[in-house]
Formats: sequence, C-alpha cells, structure tokens
Amino acid sequence: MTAAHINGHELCPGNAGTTLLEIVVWTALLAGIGSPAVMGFLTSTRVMSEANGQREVHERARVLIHRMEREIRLAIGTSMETRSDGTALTFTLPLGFTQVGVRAGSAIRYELEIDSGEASNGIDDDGDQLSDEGQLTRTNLVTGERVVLASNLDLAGSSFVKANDTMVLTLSCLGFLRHSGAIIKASRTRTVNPRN
Amino acid sequence: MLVLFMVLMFLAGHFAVLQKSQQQSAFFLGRSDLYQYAESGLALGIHDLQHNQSGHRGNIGTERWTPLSDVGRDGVLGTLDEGEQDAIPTPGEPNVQPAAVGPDGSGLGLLVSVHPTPYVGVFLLVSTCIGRDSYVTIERVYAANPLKVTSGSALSVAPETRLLFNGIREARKQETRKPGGGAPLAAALSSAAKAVSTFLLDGADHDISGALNKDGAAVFGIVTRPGDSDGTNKAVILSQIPEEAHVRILGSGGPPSVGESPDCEAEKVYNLLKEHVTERLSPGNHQNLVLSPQAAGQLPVALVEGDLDLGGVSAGTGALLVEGSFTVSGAFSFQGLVVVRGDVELDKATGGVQILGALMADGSSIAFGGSTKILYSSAALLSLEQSITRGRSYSPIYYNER
Repeated sequence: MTAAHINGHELCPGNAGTTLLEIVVWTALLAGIGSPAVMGFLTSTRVMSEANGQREVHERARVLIHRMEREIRLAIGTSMETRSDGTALTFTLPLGFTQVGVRAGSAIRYELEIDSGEASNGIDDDGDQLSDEGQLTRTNLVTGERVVLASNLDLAGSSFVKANDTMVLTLSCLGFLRHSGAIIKASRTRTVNPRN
Repeated sequence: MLVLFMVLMFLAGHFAVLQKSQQQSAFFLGRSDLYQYAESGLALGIHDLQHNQSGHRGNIGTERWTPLSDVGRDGVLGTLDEGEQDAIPTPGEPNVQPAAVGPDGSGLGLLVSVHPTPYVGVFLLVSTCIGRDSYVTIERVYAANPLKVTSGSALSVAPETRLLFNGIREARKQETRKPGGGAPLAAALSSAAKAVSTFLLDGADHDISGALNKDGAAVFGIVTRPGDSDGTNKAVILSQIPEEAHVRILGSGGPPSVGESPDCEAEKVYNLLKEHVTERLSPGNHQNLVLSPQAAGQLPVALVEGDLDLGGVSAGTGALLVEGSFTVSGAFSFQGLVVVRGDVELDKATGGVQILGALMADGSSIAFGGSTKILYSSAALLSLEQSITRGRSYSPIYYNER
C-alpha cells in the first residue's frame, strides 16, 4: 500500500490506513471488552428495575396501611365490625360532636375481594403470574360510592381482625418482577385504636 | 475502566433505590412519631386545663396567640395560605412559640391550644407536633364530667338528724307552762305561727334572684335517705315537724314536702366538692364573711375544716363546706350549696338566714330559726357546677385530624 499523493505531496504523512488484520484484532478487542460492558449495563438496568419493583410493592403496602390507619383512628370505636373471615371491616365515621358525644356520619366498609378470574385455590387462574390475588375496596355505605384502593393484594396474607377495642390490620401486597420472574410480597401490620 | 464505570453505575443505582425506600420508610415512621407527640400534647393540655399548674389554662406555646395572629404559615395576612383564618394557631404564625419535645436534637416542637365550643363545659384542644419536614395537627373535644352537687331538694338531711324547730317548741312550752292561764291556746298557736311566719323550706325552683321559676321542676323541701322499707325514714322526718310548720315546707308532694332519695348523700357531695376547693377558712368565728367569685364565672368553693360560727352580716356564693358544726349568730345570705358535716344552728341568727340553692347536712341536729329560708334553686346549683373547672375531670368526646 502506498500513501496518497497530490502534486507529489503526501496527504496524511504517517497514516498508511488499516490492514484487515488490524480490523480483526480491533474487533476482537472491542468484543472482548464491550460484551461484558453491555452485559454489565443490561444487568445493572435489570437489577435496578427489580429493586424499583420491590420498592414499589413495599411503598404500596406502606401507603395503603397508612391511609387505612388514619381513617380507623377517626372511626367511632363502638361501630367497628369485622367479618368473621377477616375480609371486611365496617365502621362509622364521625360527622362532628354535640355536647355529650360524637355525631355519627357515614358508614364505611373496607373489603378484600378476590380478582375476577381468580379463585382461592393457590393457582394462577388468570395467567397474570400471581395466584389468588385480590383488591382492596372502600365503600361508603350511605352514598354507595365504591373505590378500588389497591389491586394485586395477597388475600391469604391480608386480614382485618378486631381484638377488644383495637383493630389489627394486615395488608400484603404482591408484585411480579418481569426480568427474574420472581414474585415479591410486602406485608405491613398495624394495630389501631379508634379514637372516637 | 469501562467495567469499573458500569460497576459504579450499578452500585449508584442500587444506592438510589435503597435510599428512596429508606426515605419513604423514615417519613412514615417520623409521621407516626409526630402523631404520638401530638397526642401527648393533648394529654398535657387537658392536665393543665384541669389543674392550671402553668397558669396558661392548657395552652402550650400558644399563650400569646390571638385571632389577630391567625395569618397562616407564611406569617403574612391575606395570602390565604395554609392555616390562615382557620381559628387555630399554626406553625409560622406570630405569637406562636413551639415547646421543644422529643429527644435532644430531634428538632420537634409542640403547640397546644384550648378553644371554647358552642357548648358549656365543652372544650376543643388542638395539638400540633412540628417535625423537620412536616407537621401533624390533631384535635380532641373534651366535656367536663357531670358534677352532681345536690340530691335535688332544698334541704337534705340524714335520717338520724334531729330537726329542731325551736321557735315553735318554745311557744308551745310557754303554752303548756300556763295551762288555763296566761295566753290562751289560740294565742299560743298564733305565737308559734308568728315564729314560723318567715321560716320557709321551699323545693319549688327559684331563679338566681330568688323569684319563683315557673318552668323549673319542683323538688322536695326536705329529703332523706330511704330506710329498709320505703317511707320509714320519711316518717321519722315527718314526725319531727310540728303541724304549724307543715305549710312552710313546700315543694314536690307537699306541704309538708318530705321525701326519700338514695342520692341524699351529704358526705359524698362534701368529698366531691372538697377536691375542688378554692379557699380554706380557719375554723372558729368569722365576722362579716364574704365569699365572692374570684374571676368571672368562677365561684368559690370554701372549706372550713372545723366548726364555723358566722357573726355580723355574712354573705357568699358558690359552695361552703363545713367539716364541723355550723352556727349563724348574725345574718347570713348565700347563693349556692352549703354542706355541713356537723350540727347546724340557724336559730341563733339575729339577722335571718337565706340560702338560695340547697343545704345538705348529716350531723346530729339542725335547729331552724323563725327567719330561716332555704329556697331551692337549680340555677344557683348549675352555676356552681359549671364554674368548677379546677380539678374537674374531662372526658374525650370527639377526635379529629386536620
């Protein structure tokens, strides 16, 4: 190979181009170094994604229980009722007070309901990788307004239990990690005393 | 280098996720602490309201706060920011100085304020706990526990108490000493009638001025505890009342208005009021004693741990508790409740005795003078009940979070 010349001058002195051998060597080097780097990048992305997924499941459990805890603190204690299987909790919120006591307001029901397409059999019936998952609903029994507060709850690990004057809330949230195929479960338990 | 960079990225990502999770967890845990401190604030506030040890009547860090200070968190009027014109002290408003709570260096502050409600004896306590990055405000309404200071009669006596209508007895004695001579029977009875002419035990309800309250329910003129069988103790009391005095003992079922009630417990009321004493008087003779309200709406509860003899012209309002005997040798006018554990001598009063409210006594005797007037007044007793705040217990009736 010879260097390019114009009017007898060498265009790129000292740069004689790249040989095939050089390209092969460079490619091999890049592949040797780049592959682990790409693999590392992909792995770290996946790990972060899974960590985020786990965090989200825990966050969901925390927020849910915090919200329920706050409302139950406000509830009229004598109105607290739970279903015998621990899947529903009904209470009355106060509307204010009179000279002698609290004035009753809306009756509220929290309920753990199994997802449609799922059955309580330990099997993933609806093919969403989660088995026996359900949702938490809040219904205002006076107005009939019903809101789904959360889905993907582990119903077997969630319950509302009344113990004397206190309420023990346990909520277990489920999450499916796409990359690893793992199922994450985050549980939170709170004992709450209704203040009214 | 590239691999090292990727490892660092990996670690940084992990750290970021972990930190975010920890931050959220710490936030919720911190909030939970704030609620606990705020609830402690309510307990401190109600304790101080009961005993007023700080002199701020339950207010903590908000003693100087006024409705004019209600300008919100930014401390500027008219911005309609958080807390502005919400009628409670908010962190950031002027004249608000949170009290430090929690461990050293925690930076937590507490505000407690007491507010009236449209109901008598019902208070709203608001407690705010301020953390580093958030604050919580909870409120609780407390109602003063009922304080029943009378059994519902003008005069409550123990079944064994002897009732001495001395003026009438004396007139009768004079009559029996002069059989067939001196004053004829009619004149003697007239004398006795004169002796009781101003004597009055009236269970009809009277207002604060002493006028009849037609809307108020009448109670017994005299009441005592029931005996083994109904009416036994009532009969004992009735047997002591001379016929001439029957028409002067008015009230439910009278005249003479005499009844039985299991609530007729002078000792119980005495002990109840003793917990709310505002002033103690030395036993013995007091001339021209005056018991007046210490502050608007705060009636005195005076205690004498011994005998009390009132001379001159004495007057008062509220409650007078006498551990020993009670003698009036001058004139005595009282609005409220008088509870005496010993003997009562009103017959020596030279200037008359008038109690507007009720008298409870469980000593061995009560001697009435011809000028003794005991007029039941539910209003006077209610004023007493409502004015007692010191040492009063409160029950929570409502809880809310803002």
